[in-house]
Amino acid sequence: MDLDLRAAFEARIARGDLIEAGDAMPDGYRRQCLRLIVTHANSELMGALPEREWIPRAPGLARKLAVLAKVQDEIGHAQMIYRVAEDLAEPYGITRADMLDDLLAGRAKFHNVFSYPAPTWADVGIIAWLVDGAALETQGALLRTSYAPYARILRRICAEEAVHLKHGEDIVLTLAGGTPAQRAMLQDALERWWRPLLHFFGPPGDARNSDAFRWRIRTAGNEELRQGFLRKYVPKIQRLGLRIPDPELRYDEDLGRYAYGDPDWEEFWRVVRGEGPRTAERLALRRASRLEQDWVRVAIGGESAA
Amino acid sequence: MGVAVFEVFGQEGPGAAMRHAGSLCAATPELAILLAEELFCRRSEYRALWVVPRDAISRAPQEGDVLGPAEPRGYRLGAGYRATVGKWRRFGGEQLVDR
Repeated sequence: MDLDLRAAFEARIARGDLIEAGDAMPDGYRRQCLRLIVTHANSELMGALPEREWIPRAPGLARKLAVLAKVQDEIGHAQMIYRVAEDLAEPYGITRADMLDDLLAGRAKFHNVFSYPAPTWADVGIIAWLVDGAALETQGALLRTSYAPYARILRRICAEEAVHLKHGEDIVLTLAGGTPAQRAMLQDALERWWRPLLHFFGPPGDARNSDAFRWRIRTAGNEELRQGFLRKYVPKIQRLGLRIPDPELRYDEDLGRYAYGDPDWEEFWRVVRGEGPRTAERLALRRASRLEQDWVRVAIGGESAA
Repeated sequence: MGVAVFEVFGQEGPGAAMRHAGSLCAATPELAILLAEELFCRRSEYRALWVVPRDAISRAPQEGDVLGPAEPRGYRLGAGYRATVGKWRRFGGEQLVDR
C-alpha cells in the first residue's frame, strides 16, 4: 500500500468511518485485526471445553439444558468469528483449517482463562458469571472497533454472553443461599478463579500510542477494562458474603480506582506461553475431537483435517 | 465438492425488511440453510431466512465511486421545501404546517 493510500485510510479512521472486508487497508491493520479476531475465535472454541465437562454432571434438567445451550452458543460464536477471520485472511491464502492447525499445534493463542480446571459445579457458576462478565467488558469495548464485520457479529455475541452471565449469576446466587457446604464450595471456586480473573485483561501498561489504538481496532486499555470489571463485580461478590482472596484489594476514593495485590504476572506469561495447568490436556481433547468428527466434515463437503 | 460462502438475511418480525445476519460456509444451499438455522435462529430471532451464495451478489459502488448524485438535490427531499413555513406565515397559517 503506497503512502497516499495509507494517509487516506488513516483519514477515514480519524473521521470515525468504519472499515469493511473488501476495503483497501494497510497490511499492518489487516494483520492486527486478524490476530485479535482469530484469538477470539480460538477462545470461544476452547472456552466450550471446561463447561462441556459439566453437561453430564449438571444438577438437574434445567441446569443441563442451560449448560448445553451455553456450550452450543460458544461453538456458534467460534463459527461466526472464524468466518469473519477467513475474509480478512483471504489475501494471505490462510483458511479456517490453517487457523485450526495453528491452534492445535500451539502456534496460535487462546485466552489464558480456558487453561484452568473447573473441578466443581461452583466453578461452572463462577465461570459463567465472572469469566463471561469479564469477557463482556472486553467485547463491549470492541463493539466500537473500526473493523465493521467484527463489530456486527459482536452485537449478537454480546447479547448471548449477557444471557450466560445471568445463568452464572443464578447458579452463584443459588449456591450462596444454600447449605454451608455449598457456600464453602463457592468460596473455594472464587479463590481458584480470582487470579485468572485479574489476569483476564492482561498486564497494565499504556498502549494508547500503539497502532491498535490509533487505528481504533481496540478502544479500551487493559487496566481500564479491569477497573470496569472490579467496579461492577467486587460490590456484588462482597454482598454475597464471599471473601475475595486479596488482602490488598481496596477502593481508592482519591484515585477513583481499585488497588489490588500483585497477581503474579509471571504466571500470566507462563500460561500465555502455553504452560497453563490444563493447556496441553484441552488442546489434546480438541485434537482428538477434530479427528473423531472428520467424517462429518467430509460428509458435508468440507476439507478433511486428517 | 467445495465449500462456498453464503450470506444470511433474516426477517425479525411480521412486515420487517430482510436484514443481514451474517455469513457462513457450506457445500450446498440445503446445508447452508441447516447451518444458518443452527447459527442464527437458536432463540427464534427470525421468522424467515434468505440464504444467498455470496458470488450471486453484485456490488456497487465499484472501487473509487460513490453512490448517489454528486450534487445536493434538495428538490428530491422534504427538507428542500422548508421555505413553505415562511410562505404559510404570509397567510397567518404557521399553525397549519405539518411537522
